[in-house]
Amino acid sequence: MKKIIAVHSYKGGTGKTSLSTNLAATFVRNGKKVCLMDLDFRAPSLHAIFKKQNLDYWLNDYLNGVCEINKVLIDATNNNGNGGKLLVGLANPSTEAIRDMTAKDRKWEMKALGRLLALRSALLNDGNFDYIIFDTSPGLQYSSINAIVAADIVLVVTSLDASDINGSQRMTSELYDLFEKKTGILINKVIVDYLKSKEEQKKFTKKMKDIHNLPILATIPCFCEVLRAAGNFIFTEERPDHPFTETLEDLAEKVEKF
Amino acid sequence: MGEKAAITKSIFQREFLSVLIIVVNAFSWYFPLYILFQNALEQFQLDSTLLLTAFGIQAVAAIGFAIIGTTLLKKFPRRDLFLTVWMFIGIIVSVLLITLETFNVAYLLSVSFLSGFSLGLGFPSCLAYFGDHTKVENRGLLAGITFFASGLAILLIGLIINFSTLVTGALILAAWRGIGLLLFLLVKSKKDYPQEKQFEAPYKAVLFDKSFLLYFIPWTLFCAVNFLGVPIEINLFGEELGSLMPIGEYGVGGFVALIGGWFADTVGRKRIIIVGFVMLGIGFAVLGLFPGDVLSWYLYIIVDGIAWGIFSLMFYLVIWSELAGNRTKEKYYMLGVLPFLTASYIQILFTPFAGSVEASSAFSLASFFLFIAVLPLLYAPETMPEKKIELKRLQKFAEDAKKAKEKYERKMEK
Repeated sequence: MKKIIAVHSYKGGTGKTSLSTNLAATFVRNGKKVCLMDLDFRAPSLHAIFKKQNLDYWLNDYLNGVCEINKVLIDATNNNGNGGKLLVGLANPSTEAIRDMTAKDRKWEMKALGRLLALRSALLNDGNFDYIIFDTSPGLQYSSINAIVAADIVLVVTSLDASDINGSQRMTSELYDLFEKKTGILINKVIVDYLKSKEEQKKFTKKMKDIHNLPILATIPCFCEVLRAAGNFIFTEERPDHPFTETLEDLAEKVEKF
Repeated sequence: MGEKAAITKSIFQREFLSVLIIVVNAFSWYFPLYILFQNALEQFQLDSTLLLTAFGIQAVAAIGFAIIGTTLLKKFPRRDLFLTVWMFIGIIVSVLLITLETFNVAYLLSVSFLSGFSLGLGFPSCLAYFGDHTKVENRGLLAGITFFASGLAILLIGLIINFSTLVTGALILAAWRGIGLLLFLLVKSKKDYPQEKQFEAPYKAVLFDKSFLLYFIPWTLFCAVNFLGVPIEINLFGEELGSLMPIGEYGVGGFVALIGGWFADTVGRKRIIIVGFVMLGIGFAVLGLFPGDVLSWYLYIIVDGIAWGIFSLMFYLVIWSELAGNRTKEKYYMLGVLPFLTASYIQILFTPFAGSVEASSAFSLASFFLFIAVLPLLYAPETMPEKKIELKRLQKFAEDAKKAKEKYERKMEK
């Protein structure tokens, strides 16, 4: 079933962009047509992963009503012969654009929501995409709310940092109830010791489920290799046999059924 | 949880019901009692010295026992027990009003003293009870509901009292206070104080607290300007229109309090208070410029009602609790009601001289003082945390965004 997925977090640096990109790549490897969008206009980062700097149109322009979505999307498919396709929409990383997007008011954000909602018919229905993945701004702000409202599924990425856990918990209880959205938690950068055996993994997941009161879709160990990649390449594409890739495969399957 | 659901939940909580009962009953018992007392004094046609002495004793007793009450409270094992005793005293004092049926100076002065005592003793604690049993997120709205309900009850009981004899009125008030006490005992919250530990602050510390002063000075100026203005307004408008003023204050004020409370929770306390000051300042300025114009009188009555609605809710119920933070709230509320109690007596003292004051200059001066009063407020801290205001703004946006999505989907289905 075609879905819009918003990847969100309470704090920055939880690995949201890395997981969004790798999840998108996993879907593509499974033969799906995916559109990945950088909706973190305050701190854009997908342009660095996909190594794109001087584009004619950015997602900013689409939301500003300057152009249509097809002008923004760039084909980033790494041809693997599975028939999958990856298109990306990037946020403008220039200081001026960031300043401009930060100063947008409520009225503009409402219009932007309309443009995001229009993506469903433009991409999922007409463009025949299987998934649209929104890489959102962390925390609670208008743009992340828009992304969550427009999505079908929300994946909240959290680390084991106490302030991140508390913040995510508060965020989901204070605001997520309003959305009535299917929400799953991704615990990222988990110390490997916590997941040594199946038993420990189960115990850990149960503990996290009790804390967040939401289904835990993945517990992703902290792999040094992933950190070392430093966002220079899409890890799951380069290392298809790595346990991180396996975890992402498992996550993709769960998201598909979620 | 959505904002509406959260509001509904907080209104129907047992904790708020106990607060609503005790505060509404206190207001709607005391103000009619004051009217009954005034009516009783009027029928004796007392000389001005005795009249001023009677009201003076009442004001001094109210203020004095408000101070004593904050100390006496500590001798009680529980605050709700102290409040129960205070309400019970109210029943007895209401009945004692019957003694005013026959003129006797000793009775008169005793009743003056007792009525002041029966208000002052527990009034700061009653208001602090409100502060302790409401949360900052919706304190404004809950205060609005409380003030609105108080206004309705004051109007109702006041009307009944106006058509009653002294004896019947006194008995009705005793019964009303008794009903309040009974209901309070039935629904009183199990928690006497909130969970967090509260510290005792000396009066000196409260009075020298900059944040407290930045709110206290404008409130004092408003009370002074408003109460000194009343006799001049009655002289100008005439008795008939002058009698509409309390209706403006409680009627318009009640509705404004309800809406103002919601706004105070949405945009913050400070902004809404400034709006009140600016509106009243404009009202006085128009009255100063066109003292003979009936339209300016009606405009003034309306803006006065709006200002009263905002200020009553903010300065009786909301601000002091938030400025107290994790300190006990009684002293903050006690000092907070002081300008009101003092100014209402000053009004009585000033009334005989009101005729000699030129209305135009008095109102222009009042307008000037109200604009001055806004200055400290500009430097006052917002007592509602910015984070809470921002969260409310986001929640509202999220609700609107959700509605926009539903609308969009319906449109697409067609």
